[in-house]
Amino acid sequence: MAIDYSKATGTGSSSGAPGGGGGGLLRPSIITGIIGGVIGWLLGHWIGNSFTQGYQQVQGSGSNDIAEFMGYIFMIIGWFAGLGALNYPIQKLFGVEAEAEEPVTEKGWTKYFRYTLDHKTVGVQYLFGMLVYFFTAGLLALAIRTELLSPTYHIWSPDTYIEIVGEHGTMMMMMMTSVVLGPFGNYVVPLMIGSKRVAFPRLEALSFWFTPISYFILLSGLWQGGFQSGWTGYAPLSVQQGVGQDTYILGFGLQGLSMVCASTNIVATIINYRAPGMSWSRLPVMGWSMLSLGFTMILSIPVLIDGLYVLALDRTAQTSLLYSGHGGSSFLWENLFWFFGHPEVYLLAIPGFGLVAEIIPVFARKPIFAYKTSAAGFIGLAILSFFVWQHHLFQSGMNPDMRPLFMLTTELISIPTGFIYLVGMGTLWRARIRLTTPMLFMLGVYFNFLFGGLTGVYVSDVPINVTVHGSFFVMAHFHYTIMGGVIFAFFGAIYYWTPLVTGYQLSEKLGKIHFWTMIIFFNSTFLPLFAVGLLGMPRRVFEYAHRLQFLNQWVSISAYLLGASLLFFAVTFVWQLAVTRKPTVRNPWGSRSLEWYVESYPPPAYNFKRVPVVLSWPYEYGDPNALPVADIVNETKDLDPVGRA
Amino acid sequence: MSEITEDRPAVDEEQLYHEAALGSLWWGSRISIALTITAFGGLVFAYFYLRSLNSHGLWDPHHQTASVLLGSLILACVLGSAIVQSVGARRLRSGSTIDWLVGGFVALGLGVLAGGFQIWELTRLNFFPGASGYGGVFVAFAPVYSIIILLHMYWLETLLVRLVRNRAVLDGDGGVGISRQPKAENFRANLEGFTYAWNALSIMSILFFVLFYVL
Amino acid sequence: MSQNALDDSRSVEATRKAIPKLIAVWIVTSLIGSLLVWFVLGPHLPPGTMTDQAAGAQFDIRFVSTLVPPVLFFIWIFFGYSLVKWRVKPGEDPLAPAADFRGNSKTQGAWYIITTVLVLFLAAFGTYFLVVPAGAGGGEGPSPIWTPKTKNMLQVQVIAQQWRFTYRWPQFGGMETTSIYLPVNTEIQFNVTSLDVIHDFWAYQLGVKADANPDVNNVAFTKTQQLGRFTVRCDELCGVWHGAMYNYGYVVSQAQFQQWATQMEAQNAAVTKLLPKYATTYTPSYAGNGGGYYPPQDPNANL
Repeated sequence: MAIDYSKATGTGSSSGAPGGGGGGLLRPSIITGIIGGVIGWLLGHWIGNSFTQGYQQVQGSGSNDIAEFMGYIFMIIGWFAGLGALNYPIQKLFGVEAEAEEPVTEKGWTKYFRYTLDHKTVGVQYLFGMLVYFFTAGLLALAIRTELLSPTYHIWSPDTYIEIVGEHGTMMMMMMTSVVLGPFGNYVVPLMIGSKRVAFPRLEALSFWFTPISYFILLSGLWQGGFQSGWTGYAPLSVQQGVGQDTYILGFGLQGLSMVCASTNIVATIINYRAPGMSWSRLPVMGWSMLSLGFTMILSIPVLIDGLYVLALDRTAQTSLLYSGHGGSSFLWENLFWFFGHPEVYLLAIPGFGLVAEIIPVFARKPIFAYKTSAAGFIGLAILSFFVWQHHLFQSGMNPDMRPLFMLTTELISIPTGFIYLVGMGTLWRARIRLTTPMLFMLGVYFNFLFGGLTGVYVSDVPINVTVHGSFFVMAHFHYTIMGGVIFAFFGAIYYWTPLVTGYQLSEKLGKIHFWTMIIFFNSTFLPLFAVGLLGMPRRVFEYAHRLQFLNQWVSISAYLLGASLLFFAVTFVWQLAVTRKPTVRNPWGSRSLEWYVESYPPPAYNFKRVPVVLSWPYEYGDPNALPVADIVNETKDLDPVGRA
Repeated sequence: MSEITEDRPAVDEEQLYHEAALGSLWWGSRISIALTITAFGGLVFAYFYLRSLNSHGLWDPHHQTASVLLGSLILACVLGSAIVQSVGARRLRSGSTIDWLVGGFVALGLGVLAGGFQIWELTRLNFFPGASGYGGVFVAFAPVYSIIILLHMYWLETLLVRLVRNRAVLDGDGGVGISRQPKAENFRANLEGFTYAWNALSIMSILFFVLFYVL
Repeated sequence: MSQNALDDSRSVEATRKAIPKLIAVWIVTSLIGSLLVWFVLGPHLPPGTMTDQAAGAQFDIRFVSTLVPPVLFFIWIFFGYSLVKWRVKPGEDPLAPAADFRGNSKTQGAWYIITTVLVLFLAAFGTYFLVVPAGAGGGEGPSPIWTPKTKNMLQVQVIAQQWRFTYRWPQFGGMETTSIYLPVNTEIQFNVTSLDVIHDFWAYQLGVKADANPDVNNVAFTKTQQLGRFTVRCDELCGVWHGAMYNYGYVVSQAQFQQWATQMEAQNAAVTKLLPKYATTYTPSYAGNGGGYYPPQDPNANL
């Protein structure tokens, strides 16, 4: 028998619980959240200033780090109180349990501006949140490229320039960790594993609502003098900075908390909420990638938070953990930061690969090649990524004797990375390939990541690293892996799952225009930067050699065109969802994956009428006699097992 | 395809999601242990790193140590709390709910006391935060430690108050420690997760005591 | 069974015939590519041959670049062939099943072995060219473990601060200069340190890069072998004027160097007396005594 959720909906007795309570403006939503945040900031800032009464030079001066921290911390508390996120924890303190099940049947568009517990709503919130992040940071990238049009003539002052560089890097790195897990992990994975819910819906919702406030805090750095230390925040430069650095610490730290919440939820969901019959050997590869991702985050992000916390203490409590003159060491920050920082970049790659391996078989009409290898590849990446962090520090002067070891581990990690190529090539071999927009983006990942991967060999080789470390070569390398990899996969996934998420079909023609312009201008932007780096241009500079001007101008103009391509996406995407609204056919790509077998697009509340029983592997595209993927298939009558509409 | 549906095994959804919730509690509590270990791991790394670097001999030039008396009290409170709570939880399993309630409230008191002592100790240090490497690491460690202790106490408090308020529902069927009712099972899974997490923290506390007060 | 439904182009036989041809194309294209990289691009690759370390780095980059075309073409050829050959043709049912296989133990095994061997080879290659050329020009920290055999090296201390480099010459009375001249055919030991934040001493044409950490001496070695000008840039973000933190140095003949150094020593004699004693690291004095730099001290020494 199915669970009866009716009790939980519309009783309104759990006053203040998400989805319950009264109506109107005072009902918890983003508006009350903002009001709470403003009140919190004023209160915290006042407290911070009264703390420091003895310190004439900082008190009330706008450069009081303690007031800055207190203001933001109270703002965060006020924000969550206003959103209604604190009601449940406080109720628990008094033993007033909320309803047994969370109401997730809220209707209408306003639910997207509330703290809601439906994983699908959270997924959509994440999708648009991450796009806002991405476009903001992308505009900052264009600002950087504008400055680099000329080696001597300056658009920005040097400090504005370096602030923009730092904001761009930090914002992109913060957003990239959630860019797949947030929208698609939260939305699609529970559907894929045949679950009606996620394990910890409150943690999941919390993880999203951290992101708007961390976005705001980080961006607010720009009008407080910014931070000049880049996204890596090396001490003692970061200790030396003004209050703008505090926004880096808090923004990044909050995003860290968000990632911890999101990954705890996704790990528990995948492990515990798989439908009957969804054995480990039938779990979609996307699930495997999310699982590896979740564990990697859980084990690496607390160390980042430690590092940021230590930096915050050095800036406020007058410890000297990062300053060797008083018994600390600037190497401590480099170690703590990169111990997180290197798993971080695999946190970006793993979900991208997961999307690629998930989507390619659909358009190849073949089982995924070497399924176990791909899962092992994700796990291998996750494990090895903890043993490579020193390769960012090959020239730092710490522990030269460890360099051969870290060179070895770094080279070894290209073995599991190579698995994804094996999987792709094997899956396409003797396939029936449809070059739809999502498929093109996935093939684009293979094209781009090849450059990123091959240049990774240069960067990991210590003797070559002497030349390329800290140059545009490294910068081009990681833009190829991150933007060329995970962002291409992200856009492919948007085209792939939009029919499911919205019920509307996106135009293939417009999608292909977006793809071709994006991949051409992406490569035209970043390929020359390998040369620029090899020719001796360091990162994050505003002055460079005259002989590099032509290459830099080429790159800047390509970057504008890349920006135009992304703008084209934004306009057409919103236009098609808001105006054209062409209803999609059911299962438009002919996928065998469970998420397409829901009753309607977008899926109803609680996803499935009853829990499906999984009968076969989701990738049986090659066998016309294979069992349907689940016993739900012939209830959704207009779909047959291979998904012909 | 219809024959497949007819052969469909009967899925008891309530049972399925009940078990999934138990599993999630298991994983959630284990993940919280992992998070605690890695969060302290970064600080313990800082401790050993700075200690072994000993930049300019300034790791701990004057052997200034935070109050050993308070440190011992904190450790005693944490260990005492963990032991009382564990014993109580064991008694709960054998049917005596009241034993765990008493033990749990004692454990809660001791834990809150430990967190309070830790904050108090921080306000009366005999060195400046920047005086030495040790000083810095201690000042970094103490707030995290007290916050994590208090978060665990929040967890314990919610369990206690949940049992107190729902005693009638939970304690039927031979007591909350034995009952086969889903709500009681869920409660036990939660309690078991807490016991593991709190005991893990208390074991870590021994390490912290050695690091900050003995070595 | 599903094979029956397959058209000819997706049959095992057809693909079996294609594989040798693909491999032949791959071998030819990668041979051409690799030869072009080695002979045409190779001599022009950075960072040039001004020092032995630069020449070594050039060799490494050249060697690794030569390995790139085979990998690149392998992937491109197999992807390209698949996409052209097995793309859905007009009139075909796009959702009809294609070949039904989930793996191929021989291919997978070969892939694992080849990638592992390649990766281990690259790691061994990198280690050899790191250890033998005395750290390959990278910063090795205060106590370098890979050192050149030469006993009498020219000692150059690079002091980075926001936002410029200065150089101290312990073998020339501990003088400090703002310019850098190096003698040709000389083994040089750079001792890199910083007075404030982390910088990085990147002498591009010399093939030397070492982070300048406050309170850390970071040693790098190189041996000059050509005359010319080189660029010194800061390569770790160090604040507002990071982008403007660069200067130029020159490798000159040994006689010219001696002349320059003795002249500078005499010219700077008055200033040199005021400088703190030559040390591997310096810490700014908060006692503010003349703005000088002093050995670090315990802030609570009086406690």
